[in-house]
Amino acid sequence: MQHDEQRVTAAIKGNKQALQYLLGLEKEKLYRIAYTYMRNEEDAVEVFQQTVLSAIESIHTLREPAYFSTWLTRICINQSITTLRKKNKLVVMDDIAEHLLAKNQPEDLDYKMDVVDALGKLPEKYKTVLLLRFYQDFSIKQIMEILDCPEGTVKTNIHRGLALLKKGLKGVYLDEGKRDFN
Amino acid sequence: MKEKEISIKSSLETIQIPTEKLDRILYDAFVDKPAPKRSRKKWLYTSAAAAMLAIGILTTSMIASPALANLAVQIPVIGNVFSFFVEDNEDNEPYESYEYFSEAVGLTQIDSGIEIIIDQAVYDGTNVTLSFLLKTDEPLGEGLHFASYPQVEGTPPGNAGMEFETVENVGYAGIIRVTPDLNEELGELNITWEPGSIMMQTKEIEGDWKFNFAVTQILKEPMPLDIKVKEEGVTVHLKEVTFTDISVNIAYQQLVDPAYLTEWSAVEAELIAQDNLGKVYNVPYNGGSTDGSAKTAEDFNWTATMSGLDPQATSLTLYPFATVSNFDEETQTSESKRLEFDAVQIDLTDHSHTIIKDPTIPELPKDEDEELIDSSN
Repeated sequence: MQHDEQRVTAAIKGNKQALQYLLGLEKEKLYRIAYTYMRNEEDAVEVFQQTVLSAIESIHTLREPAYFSTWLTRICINQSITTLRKKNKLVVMDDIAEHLLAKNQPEDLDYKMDVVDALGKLPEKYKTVLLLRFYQDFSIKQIMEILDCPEGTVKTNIHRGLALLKKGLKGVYLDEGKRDFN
Repeated sequence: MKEKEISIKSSLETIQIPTEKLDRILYDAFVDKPAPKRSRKKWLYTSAAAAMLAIGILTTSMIASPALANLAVQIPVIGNVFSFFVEDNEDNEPYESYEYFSEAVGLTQIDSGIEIIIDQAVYDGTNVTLSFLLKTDEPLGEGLHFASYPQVEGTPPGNAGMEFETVENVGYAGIIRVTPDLNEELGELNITWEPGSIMMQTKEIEGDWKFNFAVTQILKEPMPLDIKVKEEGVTVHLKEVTFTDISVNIAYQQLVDPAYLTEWSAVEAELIAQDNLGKVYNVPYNGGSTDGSAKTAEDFNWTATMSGLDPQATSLTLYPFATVSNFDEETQTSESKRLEFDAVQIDLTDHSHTIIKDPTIPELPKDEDEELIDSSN
């Protein structure tokens, strides 16, 4: 989401109303990202709260107003991962892969909810890049900056994440999979 | 199985948003817990977040005083903006001293039809106070504030407050006080100010005004105290008092027993001072912040500034007190009580100090007290 840079600049310089307004615009996306990691409302709300407090505490460290959305997303993802680790809810990759591969999808399943569920069960690194690329619409370059990792790693993780998701969603084509992410 | 196209995005959109809970979190994060007794002159964010910027609008007045009316004919004469606040001085701020001890800045920036002039600035080791003019051809209306306030380079955002008066045919004359979150003693501060936009209740004017200047600390006499006084679960740690020609600055900390916060949710420690001549001084805090050593969300480091110390006084007594309160979100009602601590008497001649047990806390002059009472309504 592109924000009014003037408002972001005001927030960086300490204008609380501006920051509150910007967080209000981002709240739904932040919550949905948190929910994808936590997979229950209570924990997702907790992550959202931690994200808000962390954003308030560290907004002055944001150097480029244009990066507000990516910066906030990174906070949310980090908070999600931290909270998951605290709650020992991280699931190892092999378990996930086995679970997805073994899962039989009933025909009448609500596919959208199933995608959410499957995405939530993906290993952290795949889930993160898929959320950033296909939910937040960040470019590969932006994801590289958010995750501080090379372009090749981002592309590989997107590719593998989609492949794993497809396996978990047997018979379902993902329109995002067709998107050029090079 | 029939092939279907499913978008990650549209799938995530199916996650229900607990809007009420999220809005509550945002509200609580930004809006201070109501304390029954809090001066209207300042407000402070007391979130768990550390080193936050609190913008307090000290006073705003839309009535031009006779003194301010003179400004219309004196502009663009620079160097006397502080003096225009002397006659209409409800807060007993030492504007004459500000003007006398401040440095000329004299920087002007024009954009979007508005000219901002920084007139003078003074740094007393705790606060940077600067005077400015804002010249505009059209009235800007009520609720004036800036998107951004002056910052001290190399330090995290501190607290800021602003006072201004409208001046007919000119615009505004104003004073901004910034309390930077200084981690070390600095004899000179580099100040940058890019207001970004001027915000009013009904409109916003953006502009590219940029200021950069240095201000040197005036002479000060620091006096370490390191005195802790305790009442119930609240400890007030008086750290240091600093005397300057324009102010007396007190650094103190409130420390709250975690168990006490099961009984009370908010704590706000304040000070009142009285000299040996009987004059009582309001000692408003400039703002507070938490740091990494805080054990509770109510542990705060404060600085407070009192002005106008009588030069004939030979001792000054600091009376700490705290308001502890609870707020019931369901019923939107609050309860509170006041804790009174032992006082500290400072000998102004030799800077020794004496602790006064169970003192009777003096009352502020009636007009200031009424102001405080009004502020809680």
